Amino acid sequence: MRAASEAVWVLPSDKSWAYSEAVAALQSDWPQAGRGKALVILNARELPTGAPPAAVVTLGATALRLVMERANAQPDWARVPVLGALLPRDGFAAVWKRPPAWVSAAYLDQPIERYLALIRRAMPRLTKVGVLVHEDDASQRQTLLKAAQAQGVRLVIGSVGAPDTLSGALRTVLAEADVLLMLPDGAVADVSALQHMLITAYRQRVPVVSYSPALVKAGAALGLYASPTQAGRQVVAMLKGAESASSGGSAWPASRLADGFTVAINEQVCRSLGLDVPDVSVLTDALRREEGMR
Amino acid sequence: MKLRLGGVRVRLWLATALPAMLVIGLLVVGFASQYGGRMAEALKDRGAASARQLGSAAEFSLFAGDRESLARLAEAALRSDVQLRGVILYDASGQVTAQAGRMSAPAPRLDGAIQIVQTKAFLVVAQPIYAATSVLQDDVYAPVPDVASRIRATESRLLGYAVVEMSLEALAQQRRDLLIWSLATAVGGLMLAGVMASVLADLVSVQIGRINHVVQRVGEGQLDERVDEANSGILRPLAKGINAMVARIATTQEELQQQITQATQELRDQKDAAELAARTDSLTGVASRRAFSEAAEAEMQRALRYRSELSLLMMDLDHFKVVNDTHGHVTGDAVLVSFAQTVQQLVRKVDLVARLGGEEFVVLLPNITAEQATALAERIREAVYHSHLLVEGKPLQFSVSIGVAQFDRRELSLTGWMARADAALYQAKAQGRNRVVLEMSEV
Repeated sequence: MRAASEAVWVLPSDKSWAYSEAVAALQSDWPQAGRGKALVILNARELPTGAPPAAVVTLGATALRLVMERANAQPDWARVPVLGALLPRDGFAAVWKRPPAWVSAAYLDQPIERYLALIRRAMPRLTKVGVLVHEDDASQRQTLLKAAQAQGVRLVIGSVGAPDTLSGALRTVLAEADVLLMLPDGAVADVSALQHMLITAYRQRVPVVSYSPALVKAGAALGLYASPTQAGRQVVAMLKGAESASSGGSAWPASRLADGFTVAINEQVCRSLGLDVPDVSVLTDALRREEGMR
Repeated sequence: MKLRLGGVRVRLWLATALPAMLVIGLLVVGFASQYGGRMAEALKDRGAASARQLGSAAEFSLFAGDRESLARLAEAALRSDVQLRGVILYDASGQVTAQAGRMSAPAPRLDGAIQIVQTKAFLVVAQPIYAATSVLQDDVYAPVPDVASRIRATESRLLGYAVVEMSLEALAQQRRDLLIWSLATAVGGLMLAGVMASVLADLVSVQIGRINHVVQRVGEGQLDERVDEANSGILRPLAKGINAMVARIATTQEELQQQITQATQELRDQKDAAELAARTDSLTGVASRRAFSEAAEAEMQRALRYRSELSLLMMDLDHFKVVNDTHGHVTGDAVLVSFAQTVQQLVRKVDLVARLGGEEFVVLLPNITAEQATALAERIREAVYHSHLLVEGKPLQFSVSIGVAQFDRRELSLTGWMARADAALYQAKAQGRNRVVLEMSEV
């Protein structure tokens, strides 16, 4: 084993399939970006106490939190570059409130434009897109409006405050919108509210576009997400630009939304709702072409 | 006639127990059929409810095509009811999406309508599942959204089917239990009815037996027999009636007996009076000729047996025809009465004075010799001659002629004896009347 300072540690939060898949992708892509540094896979809960590595890649929120705790506790860990992966943006923010420049992330979140582009491509006749935003989240609102303008769709935005305002906001949005876009935002709806949202939309016969394969299976018509493999590849791609872990944060990549994406379709739901959705590969190609042109 | 109490008892028992048996039997049959039918209906309702519930629970999962959640729903539905044997969820095209338990019945027809198939062993309910849309409750004042524009579905809204199979074994068992219970109740009821009917029949037949016994005894003439009314139970009115009847019969017989006795006594009195009249002369009160004849025969027998003396006075009033013609029959009768009284006063108690007819009288004198008789006759003649009967204020004198004859033991004939006395009397008449002649001839 080489010196720790020459190695990049990969810390999955646990042994679930998603992390394993991401690790596999990392390992397979590593030779083209590693610059001779070793890639060491370690259990996040059993961090070695010795010298810190050249850089750390965390997979999942738990691993990121453990590394943050180590950085706060051990001075020689304080400036170790960290790249968080396989977690959403608000998940990262919840762990590391004010990250320094050498701590960044490859978010799972897809850009809003991509969602809107998918909706436009998959359901061209449905032009009014409903979305729920937390009433305090002005930046998200701005992002949404900008993306809508760019994609040429109409937004129906519902403001959610306290948890008990969700139902009312949802009904208001569903009354007007042709399609409901569910975004990963813990402030808007926690996990337990998701099923409720799906069923409410179903009762109004409004198709749902969601951010995870689980939701597609549970009743959403479309899903747009980054697979673990895609997330793993994005990590390698981001680290390609980093010259050296020890040379400081100047070359350390900034946080980015998901580059790769996967489209999922619930054929049953689409059929039930009378939606004639193009094939997954057709949609994927179309979205890629569109993004390549930009 | 001997009453057959056994027959009465059987008939009474039948009369009491048969209606009870009929009623209980009808009740049992009616109850079993009605309740059994209701149980089957209830089971059918339960199956339909299970299918409906499963259908509404599976609606969204069918829409989402979520097979895992459909499998969970099917398992949960199967566990919720022990009588459910199998559960299948089909999608709208008739493909099985989830299955739990085992289905022994053939797959039902899936044609969009609810199907309920019942055979001996199972009940299958196929419940179609339709998508439901809800109207927004907040927008009660808003115009109702155009349904056609809201529903973008072009296909049928049918999402699939929930099919449940229920085992009817439990129902059959319940029916058997019900039947057994009903039969047990019926048998119990019948036994009770039988026992009660038997007791009642016994009671009545014993009473009838007692009454029958009394009636028989009365028929044999024991009119003092009575039925014990206090112990006659429900037949007390009958016992009372029979007692009253017997009492009435007894009273009537007693009255008859009394009337007969009275009539008999009256007849006897009349006979006695007639006999007395026959033995007494109605005018003078002395004995009649018949009484004299009897007494004379008796005295003759006695004189023969005891060798005692016996004499006879034959008396005839002198010129009585003249008295009658001169003074009338009333005076004649008064003369006769006066004469008789005079004679009666002079004779002993044992002597018998009798009127033979007209103005002819006779006196029978036991234990009196001819001489003594003659002396008595003389005293009579004298007393008569000196007695004065007042007729129209004037004394009327009359006399009597008397023939005396002593009983002769060789003679043995009253007629002959009297003829001898008559002959002596004739002599006295011939000798100038008002005199006494003793018959002295030899027989």
